[in-house]
Amino acid sequence: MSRPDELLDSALGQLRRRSFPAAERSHHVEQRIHDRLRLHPVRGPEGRGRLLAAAVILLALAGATAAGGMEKLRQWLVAVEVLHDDGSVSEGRVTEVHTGEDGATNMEIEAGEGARARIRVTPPELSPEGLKRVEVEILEGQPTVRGFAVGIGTPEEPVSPTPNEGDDR
Amino acid sequence: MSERSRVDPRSTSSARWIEPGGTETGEAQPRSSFPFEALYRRYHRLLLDHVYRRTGDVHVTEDLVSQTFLSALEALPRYRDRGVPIRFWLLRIATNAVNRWARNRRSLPLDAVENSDPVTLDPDDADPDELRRAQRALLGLPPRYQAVLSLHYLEGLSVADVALVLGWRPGTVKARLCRARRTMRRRLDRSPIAETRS
Repeated sequence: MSRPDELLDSALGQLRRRSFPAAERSHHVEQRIHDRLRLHPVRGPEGRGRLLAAAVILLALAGATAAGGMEKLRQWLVAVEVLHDDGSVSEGRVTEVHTGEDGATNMEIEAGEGARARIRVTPPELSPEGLKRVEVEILEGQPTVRGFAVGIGTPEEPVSPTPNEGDDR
Repeated sequence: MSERSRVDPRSTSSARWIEPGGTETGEAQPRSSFPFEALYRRYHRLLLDHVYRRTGDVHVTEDLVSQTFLSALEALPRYRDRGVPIRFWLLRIATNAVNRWARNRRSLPLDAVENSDPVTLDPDDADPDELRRAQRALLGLPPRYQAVLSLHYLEGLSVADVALVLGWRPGTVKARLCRARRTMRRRLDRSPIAETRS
């Protein structure tokens, strides 16, 4: 085998052996979410500010950029959970969803115990970098709040869609 | 937002459902749980690994996999069994999502790309430099080459299966695999580490 072939096979082998880091997904909140078919939690405000995409899905499902979005959001929202430093979890709720003049979607979360956060999602076509930008901003926070989990999924009682209800097309 | 997203997928009679923890079935079954949940539980890990091997970035992977499931959720009521297993259908959606991401990434100014290291390194990675070089070489390829290489060499799919995922003819898959290998080999051969080793 030629040296370039060896390099290629070695490189592909390196990539093939990789798997998504389990540690990133081992958090008990995430497990709770998976247990109830929540998708990803939102983590913040620890600094990376990266929305793990539950809220994106939530907002997309909710049609939050259009009129009637809040109603859809209520139908799809399963829970907002707040993760504290000691590992405890308290319940929160979405208090507001609106689209800013710049086209970004803003969702405010009341996290209980005085904590409030705003999640702001700027779609790729509107962000200067051409990439989806997600920011988590703590409006009022307790020092123990480590993150938020926003869940969607199957409501306990399945939603029976009413034709045209909330249709924003 | 389309109304379709809120339609209960159980109302679709001809979709191929996945039984929780079980096998694919050809017909919709009366069921007590939501099919999407089973789909998610069964394939979430597979898609995370696949997208992660291709992008090398934990956060990008989580975003893209979530977008994949969102697309799947929206499209599930329209899914029809046309001989493409649902695993491949999901891989196709994921591949399209990663391709879009890769194209956006390639259209960024050069300094922005070079300053954004796409590789999330794990403590278990044996040779971080080589891994980083491999990931960059892969990400430097045109998206269609990235896709065909990753599905065949990283996921171990046969040429016929790659053809099903990508909707190409097997001959096209073979030709693009050959070109993708050649292009990636050239990129690796030109990399500083390769020059040092030679």
